[in-house]
Amino acid sequence: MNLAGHDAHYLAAVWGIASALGIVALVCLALLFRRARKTAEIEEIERILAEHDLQEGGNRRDSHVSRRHGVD
Amino acid sequence: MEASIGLSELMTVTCGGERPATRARETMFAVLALASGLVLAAVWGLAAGSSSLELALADLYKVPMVVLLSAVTALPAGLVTLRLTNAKLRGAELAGAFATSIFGGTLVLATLAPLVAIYYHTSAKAGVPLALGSVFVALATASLLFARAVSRRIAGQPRAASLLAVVILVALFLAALLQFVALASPIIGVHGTALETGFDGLHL
Repeated sequence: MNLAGHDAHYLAAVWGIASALGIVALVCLALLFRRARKTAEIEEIERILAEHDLQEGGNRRDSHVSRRHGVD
Repeated sequence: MEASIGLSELMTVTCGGERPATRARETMFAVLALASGLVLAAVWGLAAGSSSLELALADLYKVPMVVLLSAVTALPAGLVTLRLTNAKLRGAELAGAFATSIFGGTLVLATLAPLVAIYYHTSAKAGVPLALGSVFVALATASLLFARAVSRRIAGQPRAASLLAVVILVALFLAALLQFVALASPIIGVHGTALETGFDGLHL
């Protein structure tokens, strides 16, 4: 293999560096996915709470403590 | 709607179905599409390198890496074009459409992988041309899917600027792909192909 007059050893080193950058890109994608999933979960919870509030017709929603123990 | 995403949902979005409702889910879709595309590219790599165990194992890693590096090289140019032309399309939308089109293209590659493998082992004439042909079919499919996805996202708005970004992104992806294939060669067969000499090997 001979690209632009460089020998195989040089090109192997370039491929190694490129691969390392690719692995970094993969890690960044994994982090991006994790962050997006957390955001999506929060949005989903907010949506469910908003729907619940709507169903209650504006009534005050009890806290989880009052629902469990009957006090507020 | 759940926070998790299934492959069928990914297929629906790739085929032009209903898009994710929120930006976070759109990001999840884009990352999942790209990751799935890399797995599918690895399947094709296994078939294309099946002439020897060593090459097959190397292609399992090389082909997805070539696709990923080409995408990473091309994406900034597309995003800069969007900004410079004041296109209506958002950068995240362009990246999302690009990721789903890569998924579509690599899906074609993986679908053709068994055919590539069987011809590679049974035909001296058609083995390598078929492997190369499958790459060109996949590239054409991905380009069409990309253009269609972007067109749908900007329906009813000026299209020229956004489609210019698509053209530049595809052109840079192909240019980068050519050189990364050369750098990672051999990929198809032990002796490589004409494409594996990079841009210098093209008779223009």
